[in-house]
Amino acid sequence: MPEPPPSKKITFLVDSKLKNVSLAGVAIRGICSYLSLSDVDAYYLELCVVEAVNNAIKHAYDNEEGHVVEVDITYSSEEIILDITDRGRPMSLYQSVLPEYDPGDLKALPEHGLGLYIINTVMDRVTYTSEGDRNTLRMMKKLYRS
Amino acid sequence: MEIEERKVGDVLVVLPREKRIDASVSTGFKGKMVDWINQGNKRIVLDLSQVDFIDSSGLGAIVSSLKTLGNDGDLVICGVRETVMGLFRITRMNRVFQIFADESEAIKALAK
Repeated sequence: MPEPPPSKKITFLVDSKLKNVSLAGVAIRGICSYLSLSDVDAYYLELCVVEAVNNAIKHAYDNEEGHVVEVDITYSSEEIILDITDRGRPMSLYQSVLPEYDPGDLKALPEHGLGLYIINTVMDRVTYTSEGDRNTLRMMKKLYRS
Repeated sequence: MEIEERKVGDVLVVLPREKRIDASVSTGFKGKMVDWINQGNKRIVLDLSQVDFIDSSGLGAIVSSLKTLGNDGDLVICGVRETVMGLFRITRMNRVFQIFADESEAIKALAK
């Protein structure tokens, strides 16, 4: 069996304030630039990290400051793995389908709950695990360089 | 959040002067939009030319503004960067909003 390609990893911690999430976004954008990903792919990966960290702050920690969201980024020549870990309330992955809506029916337009749908649409594989007090959303994407 | 607003005829042009419309500013953005709508602005151009990142909360605030406006008004968008356009596409909001290349095209469309 061939050996997996060598990978590199960086970990950073985000204090649980929504104002801090843009820093996580800028960090992933920088790594995407280093990996020569296209602007659109970089945007999508930044979006997924931002959505996942937002969800951890809003739902796992109920917008309470003073907690930590851990972001682990592991990449090789073939794929990037984004692990977002919190120690708050576990969530469910069920609300990941975009509701069918009539674009002309204003009342039916979705305003909330799009984050998980976006993550599941953009990424190739998404898993969620709760072990002990650690909840980890793992997002994986194959890399195609620009 | 810094937002420039000005009237062109009876059209309100809203220009966010921030690079990001995300969860940390979406509530404030929505509040300003609702205030302008409640002041009687029924035709609005949202110029996103200075915005290079929108997350689902920011998008939700834009959708909420459209809903507040209701069927009596119109909210169109212009200046959307290709990256941000991806968000509109994957959420299918490109079918909901009229999106124009620039402000003059958007104003012209609202004047029809």
